[in-house]
Amino acid sequence: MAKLDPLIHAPARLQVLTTLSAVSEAEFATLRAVLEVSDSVLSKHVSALADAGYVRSRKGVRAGRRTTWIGLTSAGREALHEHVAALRRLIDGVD
Amino acid sequence: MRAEVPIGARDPAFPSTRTHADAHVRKSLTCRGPGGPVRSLPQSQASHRSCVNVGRLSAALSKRPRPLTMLEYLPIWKVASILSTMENTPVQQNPDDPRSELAVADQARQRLAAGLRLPTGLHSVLAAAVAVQVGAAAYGIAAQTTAGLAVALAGVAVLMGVAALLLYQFRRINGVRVDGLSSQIVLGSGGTSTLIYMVGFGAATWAAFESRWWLVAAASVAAGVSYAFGTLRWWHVYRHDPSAHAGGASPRVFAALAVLACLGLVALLIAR
Repeated sequence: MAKLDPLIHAPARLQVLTTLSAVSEAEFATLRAVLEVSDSVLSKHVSALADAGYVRSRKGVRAGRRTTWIGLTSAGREALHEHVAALRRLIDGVD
Repeated sequence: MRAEVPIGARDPAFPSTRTHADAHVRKSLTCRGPGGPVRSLPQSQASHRSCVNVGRLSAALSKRPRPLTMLEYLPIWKVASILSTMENTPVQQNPDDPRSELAVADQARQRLAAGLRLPTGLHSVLAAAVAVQVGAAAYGIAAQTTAGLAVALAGVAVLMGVAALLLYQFRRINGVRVDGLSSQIVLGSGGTSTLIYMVGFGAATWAAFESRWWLVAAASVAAGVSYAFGTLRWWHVYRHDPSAHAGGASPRVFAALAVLACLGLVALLIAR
């Protein structure tokens, strides 16, 4: 039975995982622009999610600049599905 | 109503048995000057310095008939009832909060997908590359010579080179990598488009054996167009539901396929 995941219960982290589910990898700057957050905020959330094994990050180069690419892991995808299912069940239960 | 009351002086309307709450209220309404000591201000100045109207305070306090005693201030029956309610009443879940969380997260995902752009001329370039590959392969298979094999391999190389260039441009433009798009461009994994591609490839090969080169060209173009059309259709489906169609063959899978292709080429060369 799906349960709420406290690690991704924060709206910003839920947005990070949901956005990453649309792509295989996203550049840090692209993700920051889509989520409309600051570098430090996104970096903090990505670090927390990476520590839990929900996302992976690697260094890369884009247009001659060193960049960070972030992707959703299979564990992160599964955790996201369970969390979203729990949220929807909660909504259905209250409604 | 009095306009000014010297703070710190005893107010005649204020009883001497003031409670702690009254004293606290009065203390919070005093204004401290730059020098530190408490001083009173005229009403006009007080309003400009964010001080509460002292005259209104005095009037409000003077209406109170008597000070509160401790029992009246914290009646145990009232406190017990409140605490009991807090402990026993379950937390009311508001369905709007999780709903709005999901909606905002989904909007962010859709915003990302809607902002993605394909490289300019992707479909026409891809169609041309596939047409070249099909035509070259048909000629190479029909020729049954080393030169023909080289032409067929050159066609594959053209398609792979164009696909790699398009995927690189897509990643550079958008700052994302989508494995589903890679699979569509390199492998043509769409159902209908793959079928049309295979039919076109077979027709071109048959026409090459029959030396009907116009038919080879026509079949090659048809295969290329269907291939590009399949990619275009996948792109629309992906934009509608990105998370369900983002997956595809990873770069590791493509590397493994490239190794297999090289091994197949070596085997062909040895067999000849």
